[in-house]
Amino acid sequence: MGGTHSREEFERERSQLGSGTTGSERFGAGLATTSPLAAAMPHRAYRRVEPENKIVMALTVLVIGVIHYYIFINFHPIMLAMSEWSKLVLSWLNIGAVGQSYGYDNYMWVRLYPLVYDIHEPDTLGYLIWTIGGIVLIVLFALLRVIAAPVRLTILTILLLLTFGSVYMLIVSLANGSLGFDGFEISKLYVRAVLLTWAFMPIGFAILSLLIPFNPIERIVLVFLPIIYDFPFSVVRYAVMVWITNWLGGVPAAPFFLLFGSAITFLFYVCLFSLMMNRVAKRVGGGPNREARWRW
Amino acid sequence: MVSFWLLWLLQLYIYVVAVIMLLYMVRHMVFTSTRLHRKQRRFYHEILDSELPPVTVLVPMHNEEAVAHDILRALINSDYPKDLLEVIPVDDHSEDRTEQILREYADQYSYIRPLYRRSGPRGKPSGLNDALEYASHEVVIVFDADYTPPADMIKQLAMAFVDPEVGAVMGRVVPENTKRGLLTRLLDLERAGGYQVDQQARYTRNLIPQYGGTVGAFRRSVVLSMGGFNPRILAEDTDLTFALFTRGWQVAYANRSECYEESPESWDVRFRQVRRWARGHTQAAFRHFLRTLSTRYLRFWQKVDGAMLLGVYAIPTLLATAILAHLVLFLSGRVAPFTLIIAALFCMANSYGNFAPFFEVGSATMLDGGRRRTWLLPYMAYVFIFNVWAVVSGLKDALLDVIREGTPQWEKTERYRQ
Repeated sequence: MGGTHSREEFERERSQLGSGTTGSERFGAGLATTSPLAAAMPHRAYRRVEPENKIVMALTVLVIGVIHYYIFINFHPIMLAMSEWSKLVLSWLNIGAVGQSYGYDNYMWVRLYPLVYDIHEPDTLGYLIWTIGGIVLIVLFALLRVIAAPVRLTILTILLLLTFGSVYMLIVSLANGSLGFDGFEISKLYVRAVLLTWAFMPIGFAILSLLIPFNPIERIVLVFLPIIYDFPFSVVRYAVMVWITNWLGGVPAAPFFLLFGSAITFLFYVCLFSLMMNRVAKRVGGGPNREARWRW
Repeated sequence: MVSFWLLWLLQLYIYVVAVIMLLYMVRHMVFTSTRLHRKQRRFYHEILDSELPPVTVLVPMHNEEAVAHDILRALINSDYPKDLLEVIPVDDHSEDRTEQILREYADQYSYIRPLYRRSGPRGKPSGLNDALEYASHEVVIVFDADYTPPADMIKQLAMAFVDPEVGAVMGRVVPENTKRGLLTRLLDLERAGGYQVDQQARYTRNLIPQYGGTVGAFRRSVVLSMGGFNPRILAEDTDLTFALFTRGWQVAYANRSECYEESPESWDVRFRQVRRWARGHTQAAFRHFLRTLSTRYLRFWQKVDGAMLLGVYAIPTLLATAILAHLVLFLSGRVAPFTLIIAALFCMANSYGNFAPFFEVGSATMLDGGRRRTWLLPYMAYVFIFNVWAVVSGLKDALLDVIREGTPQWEKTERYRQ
C-alpha cells in the first residue's frame, strides 16, 4: 500500500465522519446544515485554501514588476557580459580564435552582442555520412532494449532530429542550396532567444505563482532565481553551441537548440517550484491548527 | 517560390500550435485556480437515508486469477444490502484459473452470478454488452478487476442516481502500488493531478467531468438505448461520456469515492497502456467531435471543454510535428526567436506531466496532504518524450483503424499482484 494517502488513513477518516457523510457535505452548495459534524475538518476531496490578502498580493505583483523593469532596463550590460564570458569560456576550451569577436544587433530596445565565427558546412558527402550514421544509430538504439524506455526514446528522438535534419540538408545541397545561416546569424538567434526567455519567462512564472498560496518572498524567489541560475548556464551553453557549430556544422546545432534551449531553464524552474511547493504543503498541512488553514 | 510558401506554411503551423498550447495552458490554470480557491461542488454523499436502488456490479475479467479474489472479497464486504445487489464477474475467454475462482464464489454467494464468455468477440466493450443483457437492475456499476472498492463505495456511487439527470458517475482512482518504483510514483502524481484537480474542477464548473470505466456507474437503459458499447472503440468510457452529454445527460464526479488501482510497474506495459488510451480516445474524438460542437444540450463553455478534452491526445502529435517544422525552419535560417521561445514555453508548461501540468500536479499533491512527493515533480520531464512516442503510436493506430474499418484487438494491462 502507499498511494496518494494510505488506505488505512482513508478508512479511519471515513469511520470518524460516518459512513460516507460528513454532515456539511450537502447536496449542492450553499444548503444550510444543522449537523454537529458541520465543524468537521474539511475533507481533502473538497477542501480549498484560505483566500489570500489581496493587498499583499497586489504589493507582491508590484514589487515583481519593479524588479523586472529594473532588470529589463539593465539588459544591455547583462547581454554584453554574457557574450564576454562566453568568449572567455571558448578561450578556456582552447579552440583557437573561434568566437573571439562580436557584432551588434538591436532587438527589443536592447543592444545585443552576438559572437562572430565561421560555421562548418559539410558538402553533400558529409551530409550523406551524417544521414547513414544517424540511421545506423537509430536502428542500434531501437534494438537496445536494455536501456530504460524513457532514456532510449529520448536518445532516439535526438537521433531522429539529427537524421531528419541531415536528410533535409542533403536534399538542399543536392539542389545546390546551402545552410540558411552563418555563424553570426545563429549567434544572433541565440542571444535573441536568451533575451526573450529572460524577458517573458518571469511574467509567465509570476502569473503561475499567483495560483498557488506562496508567500511574497517565495513568489519573488520563484520568479527571479531562474534568471540568476540561467545566466551562467546560458554563458556555457552559448560557448558549447559555438564550439559545436564551428566543429560539426548546423545539423547538430538544431536539436541542440530545440531540446537543450529554454527546456533546461524551464526544468530548473520546475525544480524550484517543487521545493517551494513542499514548503507550502508543510505550511498548510502541518502544525497544531492545520484545520483552520483549510476551508470547505 | 515553392520553398517560400512551404516555409511560410511551416511558420504559420508553429503559430497555430503555440496558440493551441496557450489555450490548453490557460485551461489548466483555470482548473487549478478553481480547485484551489473556489467553493467546491460536492457529490451526493448525504442522501444516504434515501431509498437505495437495486444495483448490478459488473467486473470484466480476462485471465485475472491474480486479482479476482481481492475484488470479489471486497464486494462481499460491501455494506450495500445484499438483497439489492447483483455481482456479475464477466469472464471473457480466460485461460487461467479465473473461471474456477468465480465458480467457487458463485457457489457460496447467491448474488454473485458470473457470466462466462467463450464465444463471440473478445474485449471489454463486447463483454459489457453481453453483461448488460444478463443484468437485472437499472443502475450498473463497473469495476476493473484490479480495483479493490472500499465497503461503502457501491452506496456512494449508486446515490447519484436519485438525480434524474445523472446518466453516469465516476469515482476517484488512486494507485495503491505507488512505492514500487519511479514509474509508479510518477503515475501517482499524474493520477492525483487528473482527478483531484482536473476532474473535480470540471465538475465544480459544470463542464465535462469524464466517466471512467475503471470505477464508474451508469444507467443500463440509457446505454442499451444507445445500442450498447461500441466494440470498435477501445475507450468505451470516453465514448459513453460524450454519448451521454450530447443526449442531454449529466456525468457526476465523486472525488471522495476513492478506489485503489494497480498501476503499471514496467515501462513497456505503461507504453502499451498509453498507446491504447490514445488510440481509443482518438477513435472517440472522430466519433463525437462535431456532435459535441453542434449539440443543443451543451452550453458554450461545455462545448469548448468537451472539444479540448476530445483533442487532448492530439497534442503530443502536434508537438512532435511542430518540432520537425522548427527544425526545417532552423536549417533554412527562417526560425523566428519569438515563435521559438513562446512555443517552447507553452509546450513545456503543458507537457511536464501527461496532460496534467506540473503546477496542477503540485496543487493536487498539496490538497491531498502530500509533502515530499512534490520533490518528484521535475522527474515528470523524464517521461515527457516517452509519452509523446506512446501517444503518437496510438494516434497512428486510430488512423489505421479508420482506413481498415476493422475491430481493434483488445489488449489487457498486465497485473503485478501476487
